[in-house]
Amino acid sequence: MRTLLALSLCAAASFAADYKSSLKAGKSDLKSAGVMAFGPDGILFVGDSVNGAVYAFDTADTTAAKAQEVEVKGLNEKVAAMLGTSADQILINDVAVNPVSKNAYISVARGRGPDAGAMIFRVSPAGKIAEFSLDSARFSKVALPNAPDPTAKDRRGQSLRQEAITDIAYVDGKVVVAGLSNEEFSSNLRVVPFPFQNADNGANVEIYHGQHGRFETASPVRTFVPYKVAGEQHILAAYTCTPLVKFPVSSLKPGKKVMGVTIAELGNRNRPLDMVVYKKGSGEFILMNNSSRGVMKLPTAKLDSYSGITAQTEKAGVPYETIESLKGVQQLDLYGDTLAMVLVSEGSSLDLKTIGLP
Amino acid sequence: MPLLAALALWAVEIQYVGGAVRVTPGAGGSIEVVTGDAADSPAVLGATRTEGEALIFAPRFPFRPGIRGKVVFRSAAGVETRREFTVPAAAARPATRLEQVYPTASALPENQLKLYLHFSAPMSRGEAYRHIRLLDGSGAQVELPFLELDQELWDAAGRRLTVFFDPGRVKREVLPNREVGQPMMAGRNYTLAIDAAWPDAEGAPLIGEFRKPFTVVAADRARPSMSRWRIEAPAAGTRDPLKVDLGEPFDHALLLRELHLAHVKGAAAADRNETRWLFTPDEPWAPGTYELTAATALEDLAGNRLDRLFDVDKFDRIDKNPRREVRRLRFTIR
Repeated sequence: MRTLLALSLCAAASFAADYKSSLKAGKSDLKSAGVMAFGPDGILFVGDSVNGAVYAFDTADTTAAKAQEVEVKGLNEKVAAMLGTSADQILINDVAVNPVSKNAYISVARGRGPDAGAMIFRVSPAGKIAEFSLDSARFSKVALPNAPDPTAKDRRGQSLRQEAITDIAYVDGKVVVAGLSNEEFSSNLRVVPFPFQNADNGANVEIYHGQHGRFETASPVRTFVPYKVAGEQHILAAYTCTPLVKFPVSSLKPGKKVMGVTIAELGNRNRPLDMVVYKKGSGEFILMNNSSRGVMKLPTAKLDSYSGITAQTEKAGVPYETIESLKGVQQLDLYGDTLAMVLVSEGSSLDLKTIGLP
Repeated sequence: MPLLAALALWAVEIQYVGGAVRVTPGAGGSIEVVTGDAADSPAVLGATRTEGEALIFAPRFPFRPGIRGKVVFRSAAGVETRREFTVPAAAARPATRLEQVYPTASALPENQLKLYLHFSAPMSRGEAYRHIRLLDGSGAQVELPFLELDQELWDAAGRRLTVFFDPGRVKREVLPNREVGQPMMAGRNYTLAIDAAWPDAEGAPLIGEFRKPFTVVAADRARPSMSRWRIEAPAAGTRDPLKVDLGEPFDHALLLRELHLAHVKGAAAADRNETRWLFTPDEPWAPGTYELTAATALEDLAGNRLDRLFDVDKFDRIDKNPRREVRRLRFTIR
């Protein structure tokens, strides 16, 4: 037992050394700070749609802290005030909580135009807001390959094609990145091993969700969350056309098409925004905030056994509960075992606060 | 109050000059600048330096024109002086307009997939969907016709926005399509209305409102076919454009990105409502055989590609190979 433990500690230590050494000190060229996710040891992954790249920053923020209730009223106004501007001149793009330190990281665009600056702020459990410097943190990045342009040589002008990174997650040594092109409507989910080695390591995966009668399409993923089914990592993905689809991470291989299982349809006039997985009592649940249908709670046990929506069913699939008391939740992340960190809109003000997991 | 401190207070001058806050005499003291209205508003990020007897606070980023700031200066002796300042407002004059919306045709299929909005200058992000409305024939607003994404689909220059019609409503047999149907119905008239309040990157409104009236025709559920293309080859020795009649309108961005003339340098363009592709060579045409290459990713207005339909019928043969493919068409210039 002791030997085993020593071995696994060795393995963990060498992995840590491996990715720590892959991160270099210097000024990052992050152009836009979009979706974010925490990996191990305070590594923060940041999607940069403008640069078409994913960055890994060593936040060096690894001092464990206990979860406590947090409330920062008017976070957007306060961040704007730190930048000498007004709240309508910044955009808060994402909120990610460091699971160790319980500091919330906020990705911000300073300015609204194409030259807007990329910034990341850190909000402590005590509510203190500080800039996370992108000039001094150790980092590495991986470029996401853009669509090949066979005529780059005979064509003048710059391509207008760009890919918006819609979500990002870290799963067992891999960064999973969902993207949506501004020229094609197709699903693009890449699996990039971390530490990043080179730009070619991304795997393009097209995912079809079936079970819609006779029709299927490649559809972009808007948001997703990794969760385990019988010990195997799965992805639960919400598509831009509303179905909730699951597929095993192991099926995501370069150049392969994956057929996901549609397990719920969440109805129209609604946009799923963020999802988290948590345990409560003896059950495991997924909490999802939506643009117009409030916050939904789904038991994962039902996801495991659910075989998929079949043709011609009406609104069906895995049953979900709508948490009526949670309105205007724009961002959602876990905050310890019993709380979630949310960014809630109250008029023009965006409040950052913790809520009890329902 | 000790006499010395009172004198110091009397003497301190706080100015907003050259984008920075200057305190004279201020050396040895400290400055905090706050622009927020809240009582617990954090201080503005910036750096303080000493120049002679002056202490200067330079913000990390330029203050927003028109913003009001509060300065708290604490002298070395611990005496506090407060001043307010206002950054001169810059009148943002409207200078940007919406130049073109693609497709340019005045008849669009019921299952139209996307629109491209081209602006004359960079635009601001974050409120696009507040300024884009689809109106029906009676002028009433169509509810949520578009896919509203947090990540607005701009090009890098911020001058072209891609707007997808809500694919859940366009695609057959997904729930929104069954529940509320397609956003547009064949045989009816609609207007795309872009209001002038949409701020450009400088914060100025657009020069004017933009309206694109159009009629909706039957859904396009056919794959575009290269067999319908007609090539009008120019004469050798000229720089006249090669003209390719495509038989139907194609997606503007993909037409300019995915259709090429192999081994010839020149400029491509689309005209006749994107039903025709033009290519003007840099050098006069030499006699010989040429090859037009089209990636199968080329799409018609409804997202049907050369190799598959937008919503694939499973009983059709589906090309399961996700690799990028190119199709070729040869022609001769004499």
